[in-house]
Amino acid sequence: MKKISMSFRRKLILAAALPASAFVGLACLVSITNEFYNFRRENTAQLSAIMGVVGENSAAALVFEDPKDAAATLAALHTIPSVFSAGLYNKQGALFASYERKAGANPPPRQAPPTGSHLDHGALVLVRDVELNGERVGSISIRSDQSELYTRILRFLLLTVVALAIPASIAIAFYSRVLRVLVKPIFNLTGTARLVSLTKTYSIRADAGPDDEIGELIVAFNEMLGEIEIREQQLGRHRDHLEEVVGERTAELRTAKEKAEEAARLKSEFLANMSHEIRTPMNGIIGMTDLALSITSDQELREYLSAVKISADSLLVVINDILDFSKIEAGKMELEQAVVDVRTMVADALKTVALRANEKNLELTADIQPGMPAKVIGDPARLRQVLLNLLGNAIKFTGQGDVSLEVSIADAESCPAHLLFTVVDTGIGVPAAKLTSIFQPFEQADGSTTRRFGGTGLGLSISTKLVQLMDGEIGAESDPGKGSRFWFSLPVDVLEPAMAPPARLLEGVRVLIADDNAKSRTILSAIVKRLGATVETVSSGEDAICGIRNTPFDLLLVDAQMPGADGFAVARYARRLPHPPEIVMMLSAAELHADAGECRRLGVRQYVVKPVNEIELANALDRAFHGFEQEILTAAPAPQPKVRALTVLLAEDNAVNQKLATRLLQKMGHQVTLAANGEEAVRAHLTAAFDVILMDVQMPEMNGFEATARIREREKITGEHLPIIALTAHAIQGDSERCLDAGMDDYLSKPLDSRALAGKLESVALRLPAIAAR
Amino acid sequence: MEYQVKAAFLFNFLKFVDWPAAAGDAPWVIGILGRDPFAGVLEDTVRGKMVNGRRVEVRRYARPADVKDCNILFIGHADFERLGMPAQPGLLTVGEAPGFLKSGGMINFYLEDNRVHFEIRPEVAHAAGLRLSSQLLKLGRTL
Repeated sequence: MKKISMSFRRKLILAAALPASAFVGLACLVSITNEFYNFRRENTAQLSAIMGVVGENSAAALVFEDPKDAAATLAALHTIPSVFSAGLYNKQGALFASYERKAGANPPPRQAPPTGSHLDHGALVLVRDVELNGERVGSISIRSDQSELYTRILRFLLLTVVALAIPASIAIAFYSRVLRVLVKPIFNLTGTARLVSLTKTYSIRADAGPDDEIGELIVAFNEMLGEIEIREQQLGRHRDHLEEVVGERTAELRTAKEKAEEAARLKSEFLANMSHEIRTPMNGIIGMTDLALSITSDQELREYLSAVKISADSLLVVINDILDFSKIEAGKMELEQAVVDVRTMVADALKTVALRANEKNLELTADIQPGMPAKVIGDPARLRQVLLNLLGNAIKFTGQGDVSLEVSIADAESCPAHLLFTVVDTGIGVPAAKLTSIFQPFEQADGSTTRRFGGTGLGLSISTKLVQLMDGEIGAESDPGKGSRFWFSLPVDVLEPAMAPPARLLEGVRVLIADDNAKSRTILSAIVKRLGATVETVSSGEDAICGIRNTPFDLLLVDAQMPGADGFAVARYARRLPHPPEIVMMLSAAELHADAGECRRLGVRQYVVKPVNEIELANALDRAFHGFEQEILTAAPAPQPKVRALTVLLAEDNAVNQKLATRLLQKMGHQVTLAANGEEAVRAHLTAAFDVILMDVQMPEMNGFEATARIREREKITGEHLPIIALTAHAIQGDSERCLDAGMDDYLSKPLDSRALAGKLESVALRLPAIAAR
Repeated sequence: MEYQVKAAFLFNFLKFVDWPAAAGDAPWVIGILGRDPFAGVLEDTVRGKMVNGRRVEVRRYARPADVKDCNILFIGHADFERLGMPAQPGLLTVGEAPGFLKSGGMINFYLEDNRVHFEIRPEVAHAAGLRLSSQLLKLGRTL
């Protein structure tokens, strides 16, 4: 309860006493002021009159310059006790004669003060002119004591206080007694109210009060208590009921919420499981088909297997699309922040789609603008996915002509810089009305598209979402029937700026470029010119032959596939020249194997695979001009096991994948021990010695992470460190970090790539101490 | 210096004498009988001054018979012995030589402690119809 700082009674007394005191005080102030001014006026008038007389009597002394006489006249002032001192001044204001009641106490000033009156240290100073026949002849000043005035005022004040204090104290005493009687019922009422609010007992009633306003207040208060008592009872009944209802509802809601959360959790789990469950057999199918293709030369079987491979690949694409899409829709897509080598990423993406472009006889070109940073920060997998999607679409919807990729960077110096990828095709195009809706899920330019071209129709919408997640923009322009231009741009942080421009390896070298595709010629010409060479381009084999016949060229960069005289025809002609130029052949991915052989036969020592990559092309041109043999010409599709044999423990639960990996490892000459799950792997590690463990991450009984943890735990005692390479499904984000965190040394993503596997094993073998070799 | 003071005194005497009623606003006349010792100082003193709304004029007389309409007549040196003492009703005579008062003059200057003082014979002035102010009497030595 709030503490009462001032009682009601005191307030009432103050309310009565304050204005009264104020009035009396004001009245006193007025009379004192009046008294003061009256006294001052009378005093001034009296002194002024005296000064008049004295002045007049001093006029003659002034004009006849008789200070002695003047002093005698002034001395008459001694009869007035209040005058301290007086001074007579001549016309020029110099002191002429003076009077002092007490010598030296208050001498008059040396110079005449201005006429009029003023106060000086509590004394009243009066100054007036002395005139003679209306002419000023000097002035007189009087300093007068005011102590009488102050004494009077003090006396007056004392009287007032005494006169006020007596009646005031009588009044307060009386008033206070009267009030006590008046306030008592209010005190009682307060007590009752406090009791009610403390005990919450609304049946208490206040005692009846006097027959006045306070009495009425008490009656009203009691009535109000009665009302509250009734309400309280009603409310109590309602509350009991309400509590029951709320309790029921809360229980229902909790159940519903738990169910919903469970459902959401189950959905995410299902999604993750599906991802793994679907990809594992798909990896088996694709891997095994690859394996089968690599060992058979039966043409018919190869055709069937290729068909299986193509179907499996497109099924995997569809599955990945659907899983990605549901992941994005569920808000579960997380981006990685990793180092991206743009050139390598683009080259890889191009290699992936080059075969398809070749099969459709489309010219695929790539132009990476100079100034491209060596390394940027981003999500390499998602970037590649979007780029592949745009390139794949372009190839899919282009019947003839070319598909070209241009990669450029804006604001390379700033942070973030903006990467721009543009894919231009000469395909069927997209009607203007459909240009925006194709970025929506389940939309293709028209319903028949899916039937004609296949695909889920999710690719672009996934790309859109991914680009948006990466804070970028995606868009398209199209000329239906003529082609489309799809682009996306991303803000990226530059980690390593652009590489220094390639050394001018071909300074002064004369190069002839023969390619039937105009865009390709432009790109090639730009690259070769950057190397310092003088360049001429022709658009056919015939023109190339004509060119080398007439002009001596040092180097010939020829497209193998051209209508009419192809690259090989040009090479054959060139061989017969007296000074044959060095030749670099540009081969398409599809015919690589056969064409490479043809190159060897014709003595063409260098080739590059289209679409041409700047670095590879520069290397090939350099090697050709400086006379090195290309090693790959002799290399078979499957890499020769150059590493020494290792003992490998393979922990993998899926039978097909077990077989696939085992075959791959055996082909490389390694010795394989199998473990079907983590537990078996740990046990195998106890009983036998291995050079390396390949550990699947997702396994029943005990997963790869746990198995690795157990093994590492044991190694703490032995002090050894066995290399463990994780095998992960590529789709699961952040797995690479988790693998390294779990104590694994490296990781490989599935489906297993035989070259990557060989590379990892080779580096393991290199790190093994020489003594361990068996 | 001495005559500057004397000129001022002469002028101030105008104010301390109760003159018989004068005609209109004719100027006050301060006359010099015989030789003039002021060398123009008297004119400088009264120039531009007014007493009771009337200007002040300085005149010079060679003989007592010439004196007319004059209020204050100054007789320098001991010229009263040579020229005789004029006496007219309403004429205040002022001199500066010992024996001036004895010879019938009204006010006489003398030097004491290097200061100019004056002595007065009020009854002579009274006989000429002039009443001298009590203040003047108080300041001057009365014979």
